Amino acid sequence: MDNYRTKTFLKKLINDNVIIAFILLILIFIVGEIIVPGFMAFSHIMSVLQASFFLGILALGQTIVLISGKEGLDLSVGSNLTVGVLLGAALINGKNINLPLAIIVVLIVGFALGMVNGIGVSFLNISPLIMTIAWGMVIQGALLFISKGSYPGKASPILETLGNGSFKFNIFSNFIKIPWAIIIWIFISAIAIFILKRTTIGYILYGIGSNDRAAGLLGIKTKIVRILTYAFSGMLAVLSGIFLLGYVGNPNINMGDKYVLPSVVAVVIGGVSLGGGYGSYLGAIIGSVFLTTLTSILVTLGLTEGQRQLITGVVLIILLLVYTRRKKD
Amino acid sequence: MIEKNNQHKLTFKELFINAYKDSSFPSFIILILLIIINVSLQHNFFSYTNVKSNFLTFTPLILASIAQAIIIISGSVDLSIGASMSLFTVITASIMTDSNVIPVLILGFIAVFIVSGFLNGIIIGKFNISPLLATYGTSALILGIAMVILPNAGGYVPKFFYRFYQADILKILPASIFILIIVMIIWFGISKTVTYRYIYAIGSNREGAYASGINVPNVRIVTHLIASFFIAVAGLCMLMATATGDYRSGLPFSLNSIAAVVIGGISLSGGKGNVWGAVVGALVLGLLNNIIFFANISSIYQIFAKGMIIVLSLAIAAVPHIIKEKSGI
Amino acid sequence: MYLFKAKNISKRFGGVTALSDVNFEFSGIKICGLVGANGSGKTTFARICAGIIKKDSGIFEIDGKNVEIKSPHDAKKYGIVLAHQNLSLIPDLTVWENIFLGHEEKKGRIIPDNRNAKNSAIKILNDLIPGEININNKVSSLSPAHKQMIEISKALSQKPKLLILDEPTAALEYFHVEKLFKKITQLKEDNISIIFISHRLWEITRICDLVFVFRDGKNTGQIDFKEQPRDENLIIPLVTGTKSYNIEFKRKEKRNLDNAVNMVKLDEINYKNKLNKINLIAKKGEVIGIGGLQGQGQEELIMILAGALLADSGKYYLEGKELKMHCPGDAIKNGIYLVPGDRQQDGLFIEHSILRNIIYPRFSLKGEKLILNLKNLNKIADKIIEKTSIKPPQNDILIKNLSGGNQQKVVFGRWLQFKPKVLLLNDPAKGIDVGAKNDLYRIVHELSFNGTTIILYASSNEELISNCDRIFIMFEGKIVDEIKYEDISDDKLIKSSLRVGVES
Repeated sequence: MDNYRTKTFLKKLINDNVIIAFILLILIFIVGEIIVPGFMAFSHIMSVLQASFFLGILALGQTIVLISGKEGLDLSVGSNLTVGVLLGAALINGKNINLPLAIIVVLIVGFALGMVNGIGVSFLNISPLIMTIAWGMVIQGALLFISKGSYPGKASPILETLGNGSFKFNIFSNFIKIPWAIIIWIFISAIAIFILKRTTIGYILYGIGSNDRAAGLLGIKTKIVRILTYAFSGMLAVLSGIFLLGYVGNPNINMGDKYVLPSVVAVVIGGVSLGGGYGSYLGAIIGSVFLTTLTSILVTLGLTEGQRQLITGVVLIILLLVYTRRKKD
Repeated sequence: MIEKNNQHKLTFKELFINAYKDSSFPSFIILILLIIINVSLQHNFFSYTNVKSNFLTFTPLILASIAQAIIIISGSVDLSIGASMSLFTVITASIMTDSNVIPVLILGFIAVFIVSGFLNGIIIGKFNISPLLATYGTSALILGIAMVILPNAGGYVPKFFYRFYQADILKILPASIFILIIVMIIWFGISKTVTYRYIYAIGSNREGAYASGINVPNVRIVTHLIASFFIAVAGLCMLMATATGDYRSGLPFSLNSIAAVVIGGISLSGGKGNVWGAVVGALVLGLLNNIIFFANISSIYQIFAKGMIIVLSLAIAAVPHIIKEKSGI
Repeated sequence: MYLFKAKNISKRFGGVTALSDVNFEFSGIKICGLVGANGSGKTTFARICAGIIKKDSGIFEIDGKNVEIKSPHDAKKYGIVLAHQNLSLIPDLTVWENIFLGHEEKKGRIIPDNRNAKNSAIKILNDLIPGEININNKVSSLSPAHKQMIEISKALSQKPKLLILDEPTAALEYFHVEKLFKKITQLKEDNISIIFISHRLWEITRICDLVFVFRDGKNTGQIDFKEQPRDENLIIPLVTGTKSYNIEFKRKEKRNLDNAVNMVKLDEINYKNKLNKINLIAKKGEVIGIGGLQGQGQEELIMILAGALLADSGKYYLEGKELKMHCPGDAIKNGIYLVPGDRQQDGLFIEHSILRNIIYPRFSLKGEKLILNLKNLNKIADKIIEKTSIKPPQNDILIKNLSGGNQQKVVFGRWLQFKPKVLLLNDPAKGIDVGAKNDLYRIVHELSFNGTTIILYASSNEELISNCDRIFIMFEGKIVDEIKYEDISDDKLIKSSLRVGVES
């Protein structure tokens, strides 16, 4: 009986879509190796994973929003990421001592911004896709006129280490570097997956995504849960922005835009259902790595931004065709 | 006697009550209000030159909104309208010369038919992908194509061609309004066909439509094809208005056309409403923009304001839904 | 002579077998009844014949020739038309547009012949229900009975050779049923065969020539009224699988509740225009029925008790203390549990497992630890599966793969993990098979003996009569009658519901 339970737990964690995503990931790495020998070297894989981290955190927010159902989607992640970058830089201003307070302030701001999305979706019944695009535009516009073209401040040394640096150690006289970003990501992922799959919060979330009305009749305050979900997505997006600031060092206003579409694609690759109530972050992680790898291969091949855009679009469409066919019966 | 009972034509009173109950009625009132406000801000509001200059700006959105309305009534949605409009300008401006205007325009129309009409229609109709996502994907794809064709805004549009847009037909009718009238006549013709009913049918009750023997995928494809005609005309007007090919020019139209449809009282779930509502909605948006312009807000604030308008319009449009929700079970 | 054969038809949906090697054949122009409990597969069979669903295996033969029916278009080619139970109408289109939807007569290729269509629509409607419907009205404005008539008219307009009627009388008033029967007889005279699906046996015995019975997706028998008497009792065993059937409603025993405390009290409850000055007292352990014609406010009353609707005014007492009900969570915290009327829309997470569906209400209660104790929760779910006899008895099966009766057991059974003070049942036995229904009420009575107050709304009088200690009759949002145990009878219920013998 115990064996049966473990098997079904694993089965739920690794549903079919996740396996497919994993296979795709292996394939893209092989393709990468063919195009660029040395692609699959340990240090290069580490740097790809590190680069995927930022998308991966956005994808976590996207995952919980999608699971929450009612056609959940958060397209304001790009703008929120930029908030994390710009506000973080301004508050930290290069000094480590400002770091803790800056992070707290930025996270609160991100939470609040995400909450607006949640209120629009929950109380005003606005379609999430439209609400988050519109609110994202508002945030971006606000950033534009607050900053007026100048982006003061920068990351502090600790932040730069976390975003860009590695944890170095020796094992069997081998010198190993694991980027801090990956370690942090593993940490966040473990917590996230545990919450989703083994706690009441997770079960509640899957429930409201599967059938909002039933969940309400069973005593859950679904509107509040949904608002919180979007709030957390906003918070995760600015968190990603803070780390991204550490990665690049200097702030810029155009950083978020190119992450929006990939955050959706990554999550869809990972098998999270667009209808809600189903899916796992593990899949989204794989999707994030897959996309980042794909982009880096395309850049190596010398493709222009337009061509990369084209390919990302094609990839999304192919994914939609493969993953989200709705049955007619 | 019984025959009369079964077929009595609706009296004037009933017609008026029908109009009042029509979901587009509130937006019509809003339109009147906005006209009044605009008149007070600008005393020559109803002058020929002013009306003409307003319609130069409004027409592309009106056309895009008509296309969006058709698609939304059919139960679908199209986020790629803006990208398709940009594509039209990019394809045409990149190869247009003084002598090949007409063939190039035809090429532009065909391109939009294929990419916006056919591609969207097949992905959504035949493969049953969620329209929101599918068109999000195709918009990325189309944007990519446009970026590849013209990475920087440019191209050439002959003077005599784009001057046409500012011309006066028979000295009394601005060209932009002329185009609108032709388009409305075409739509009126379409509304007399069986396909028009089928569009409402698949938007209202897909299973029921299938059970009635309607070929749902085909109707879906035809819907997107019909809409793509209006999108191409919108792209044409934008081309004449800007005289450039620019992959970014169409971007706001996707969301704005949805806002126009929502403001116009057409339900996003499909099967209900009237294309004329979208026209009213587009006019409302256009007049609101006028008001912002006249209130002398700097361009940076305008992005913010425009985003807020969309959010607020969706919020207000949601009010009748909320009232209904609270009073029902 | 017309010959219709459906042989060895099978169909599965996911893990559930809807039809298993089913046969249906007849010759000549006949009115064939198709009977079976919900979940027996009759609607699935009808849809397969009409091409809306594709069969997994089996063959169709018409007039001796093998035919393929893969779409509604194919079915129509062979003259097979299905009149749905109100699901193929488009609310925003007019009556006449709906009648001809999908098979419009056209002038040329794309222009419809509207005038002809309108005239034909008038003719069809006049033939069926003269003078009742204006063809220019939108379907959304029609009553359910009229909508059903439009569905039937739509089918008739396609000039079928074989007309399948799926529960045509479910939404109809008595006088409509008479007109429908008249039409059916007429159709037979016009050489049109009919498959008449219904679970109302008295209708079947009245107009059918033969009747086929399905149970659990299989044939259980067939009766030809040329050779056998038109007796419902011959059909019933084939439907239920039981040998005997007591036409007398078997009632629960009378209980002495004189000393029981008041559990629920509603004091002058008003809700919009649906509930008007409702005063109600239910004692501990009592089974209270809410009766009356459909739509008199019974559902609203249940939902107010469940906290799903907020009353405009009035007070709600539980065990003497006033309750402030703002949401379903408040009700659940107080031990008041709801079994909703529409299980798929309101009660279940279809894509999730039985386990998740059962344990979900725990999350709105205090005391459920953040980190789930899955071992414990699995045990709880398994116990409930056993108690309610859910099949298959595995808690990781997804709800979508269960039959209707088993799904309802989940909706109902989940409350057994707590000790319900009040259990609200909103038509709990609708659409489930007899076996599941008996299981359910068995548990209901067990609960009531152990002190749970049951408030039951059922659309069938039989259910109310068999299971209640007291019945309140509702009419136009008011409670107009309270029928004590001794006075409960079918006659009394009907008369009271219709307000017969009462001055208005």
